[in-house]
Amino acid sequence: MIEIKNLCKRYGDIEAVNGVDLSVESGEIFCLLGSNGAGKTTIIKILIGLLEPTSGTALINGKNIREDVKSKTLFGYLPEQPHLYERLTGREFLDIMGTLKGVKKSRLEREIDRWSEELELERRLDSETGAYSKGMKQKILFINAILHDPPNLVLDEPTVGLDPRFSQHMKKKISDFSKDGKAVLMTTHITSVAEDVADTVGIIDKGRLLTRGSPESLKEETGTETLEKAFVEVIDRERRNP
Amino acid sequence: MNEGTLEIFSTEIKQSSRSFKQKVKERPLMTGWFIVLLIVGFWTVLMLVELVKGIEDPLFTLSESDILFAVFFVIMSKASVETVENTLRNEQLKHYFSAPISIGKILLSRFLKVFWYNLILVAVSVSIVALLIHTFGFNPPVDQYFYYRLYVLVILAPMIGFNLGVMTQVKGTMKKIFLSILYGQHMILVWFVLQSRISDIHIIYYLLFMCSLSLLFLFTSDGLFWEGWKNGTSASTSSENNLRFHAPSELLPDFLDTSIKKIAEKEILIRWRRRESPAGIGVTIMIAAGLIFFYVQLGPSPDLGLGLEGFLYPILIGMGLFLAVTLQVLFPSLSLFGREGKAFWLIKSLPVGPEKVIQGKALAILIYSPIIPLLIALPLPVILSYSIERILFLILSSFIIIFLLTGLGVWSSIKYPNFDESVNGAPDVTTMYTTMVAGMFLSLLFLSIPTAVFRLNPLLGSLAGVSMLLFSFTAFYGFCRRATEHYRMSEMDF
Repeated sequence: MIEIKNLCKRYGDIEAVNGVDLSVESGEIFCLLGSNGAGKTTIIKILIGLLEPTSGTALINGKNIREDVKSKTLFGYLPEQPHLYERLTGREFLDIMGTLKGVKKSRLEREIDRWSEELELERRLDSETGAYSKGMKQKILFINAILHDPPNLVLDEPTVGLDPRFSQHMKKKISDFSKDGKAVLMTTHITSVAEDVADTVGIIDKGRLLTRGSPESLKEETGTETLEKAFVEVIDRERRNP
Repeated sequence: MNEGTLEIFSTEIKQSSRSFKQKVKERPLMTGWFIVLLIVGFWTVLMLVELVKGIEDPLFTLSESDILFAVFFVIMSKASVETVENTLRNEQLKHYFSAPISIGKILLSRFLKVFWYNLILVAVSVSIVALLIHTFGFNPPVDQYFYYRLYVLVILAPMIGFNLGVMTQVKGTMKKIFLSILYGQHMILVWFVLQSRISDIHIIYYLLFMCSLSLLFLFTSDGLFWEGWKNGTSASTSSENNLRFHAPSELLPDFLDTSIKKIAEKEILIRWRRRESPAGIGVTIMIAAGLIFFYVQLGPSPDLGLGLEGFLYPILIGMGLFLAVTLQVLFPSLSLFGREGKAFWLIKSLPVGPEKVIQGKALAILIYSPIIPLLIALPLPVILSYSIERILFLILSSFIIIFLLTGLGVWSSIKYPNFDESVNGAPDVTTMYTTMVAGMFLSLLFLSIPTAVFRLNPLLGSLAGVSMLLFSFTAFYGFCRRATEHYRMSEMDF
């Protein structure tokens, strides 16, 4: 379960995140929908302990990640940009990361083989990741996020840079994970992705969470036919009457 | 020269100067301290020059040519390392290569950057030296032609350094060795020209001729430059590469915590594959060979006329040890965190305590460090028939410096990280120089007492050495503790 209360992050005069409240229950997919620079990634970075909030709290299963190192096993994180160790092979990378996350050796090997086969990576697993395409790096990081079977998933723009086939596969996997009882917090600026997988969509702009609800309820609230139109309507309304 | 080249060059300079200004603004005290240390450093060099003037042994008589070659060698080596690290291993250059700009223009812009920074370095150095000569009345053994030759060498050294850097990165070991040896002869040629008995003006003509040759080579080496960049930035795609280093964990003791071992394993693999570990060991081998070379040239008891007869080799071994630890341990440890770059999130989001991360990283640096005493504190002392106590004392001293400088480097790497991927996380010159001087000061502090006691009584001196080893380990531990705190507080807002 993910719980964010009155979260603020300020850089000098700039308010990157301003009083955000949200919670994601087990089995729920919460999608933060916002324009570029709306504050989505900052919220995620605070949640997983990469940034210190100016005020407010961000908890995963009731734990503040920055204060409790062990609780970092409670989430799996997929970043927007696939930055990893380019001089390690895919297998070495997953072996090191999995071991550091406390996965037992026999299970780790099994999981690496299973996932690399499912994501069609097995033939390149022993090459250095620096030679991978962006999509392949994304796949390796996806395996890294789920390798230790965490109860929560934090996915930052999970479908960006993926080919349509794997994008579809990724969306299906996200739905499967939520059915297994995992809480999923994801960000996107692609409305169709949010419409396809999210139980709850939160629209964020300039660091503020403007509204939230199911895709259907947002469309109803704004009187629009698609989530994309609903998103534009909410943002425009806010900018007309800040 | 044309627009594309100048545009890239000015963009790079603008970017670097902004980042420099930002750092000065963030750390005014450290910048001030850096300037003070820089002046003190030059003052020490001038003092040494004054001292060396009194040496009577012809092999050690300091001439203008020696000073000029030393300056040339430093600038050339710096240019060569910068070319490899900041250009040929810089992935960000893909943006230029994918733009409609010829490779030759990119090459020229990168050379200009290396050349520009060396020019600034020399200008600042000459200004400080001139100021110190004027203030303290130093009298270095140079005439006006010294300066003319210096100006030409300042142009020539970055050219040779840049070209040599390119040679060391081409594909294929044999090709690399062949080209490096072939082109490396330019460096030897400079030595011979400077040492020759021809008139000063002819030396300048020869050096200018070498400049035009190097420039010609620079303009025509775009193919090698492209090959060097591709080779320097590409990862291995082969899963059958038997030469690749696979199992560093076998080097690590079993009793270690798994997390520490895995963090160390990651560091060791990456450093080995980036050829940094072999390069570091290679430098130590070269220093050891240099010491043997001194022995072959000077014999077992050289008389320099300074009353230092019994001290020359211990001083040389001490300097060799410090240099080897600085190059193989301190400098690599300074980029331990900066090197993570944008992948820093990976390590920060792991359920591994900060102390284990720091210990794992420090272990990866320490793992090869026993090579230093093995190569520097053993061969020459054995040749010189030093007593067992003396050899053991030198080995103890090596580990004292190793622990001090590793701790200092690890702390500095997280206190002042440079996540700039275009320089592979290397620290800025202020951090590098300040840490090196601090390391030198700490080493002198920790070694002075046991050395003084050892001269009076070897047994007591050895005991003092063991105590200092414990103190240096405590200092290492203290630095690691501070580093742990900095790591815990660090944020990833990039």
